[in-house]
Amino acid sequence: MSIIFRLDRVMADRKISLNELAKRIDLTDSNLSIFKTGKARAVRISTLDALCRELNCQPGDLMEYSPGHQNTEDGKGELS
Amino acid sequence: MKYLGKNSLSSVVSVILRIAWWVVLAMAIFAVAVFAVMMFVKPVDGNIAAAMAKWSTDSTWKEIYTWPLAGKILLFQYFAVFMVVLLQIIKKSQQLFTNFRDEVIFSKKNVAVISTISKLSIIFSILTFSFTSLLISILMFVLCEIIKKGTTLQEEHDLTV
Repeated sequence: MSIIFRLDRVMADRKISLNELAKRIDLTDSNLSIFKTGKARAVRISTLDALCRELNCQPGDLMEYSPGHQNTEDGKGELS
Repeated sequence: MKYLGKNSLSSVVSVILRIAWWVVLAMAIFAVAVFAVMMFVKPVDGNIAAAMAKWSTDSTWKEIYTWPLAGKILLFQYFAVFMVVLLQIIKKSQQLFTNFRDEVIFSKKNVAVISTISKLSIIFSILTFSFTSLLISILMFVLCEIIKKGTTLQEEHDLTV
């Protein structure tokens, strides 16, 4: 997939941990980790809404379109 | 009535199939011994083959000793394949119901198990010339495809945040 997830960067900017954010948006740690590592197949609008509200950001700050980018198993991206 | 999960119909069926597997295995071992005696030991007065021929009501069993060796070996092989297929069907069905008991329904594990059961059922239907078994195996193939589709949907659901 050519979508890169930038949640880790936004979280680092806001100095918020995964557990804390998961608690705030009422999501399980594992589900948020799926989003963070880029393994997610789909994102609910409600989740995106909660993330943007808690992180005070735009959906575009959390995701980025990069043609030719592939997400690997560990969530790190690589160019194909 | 609960069909899936703990203390459900699936857990009862799983236990029954586990017991059935051991019973069929014991019967198969016993039958192999009986077959071997009937086929290869000449019934002479007083020996075990003669005694078994006397107990048997089926006249075929009394004549089986007179069969040519190739026929006996073929019958023996048929019986062996039949028992192995039957035991495998029971074992795989038990695995399936154990997964259902553990609420593992839409998984790749179940797809593989159902696929194996359907293939074994086809062999079983050929061995027994049973149309019912053939019909069951076709239904199992359809069920396998349904579970495969379900597994894809389950994965989609699990990876939706």
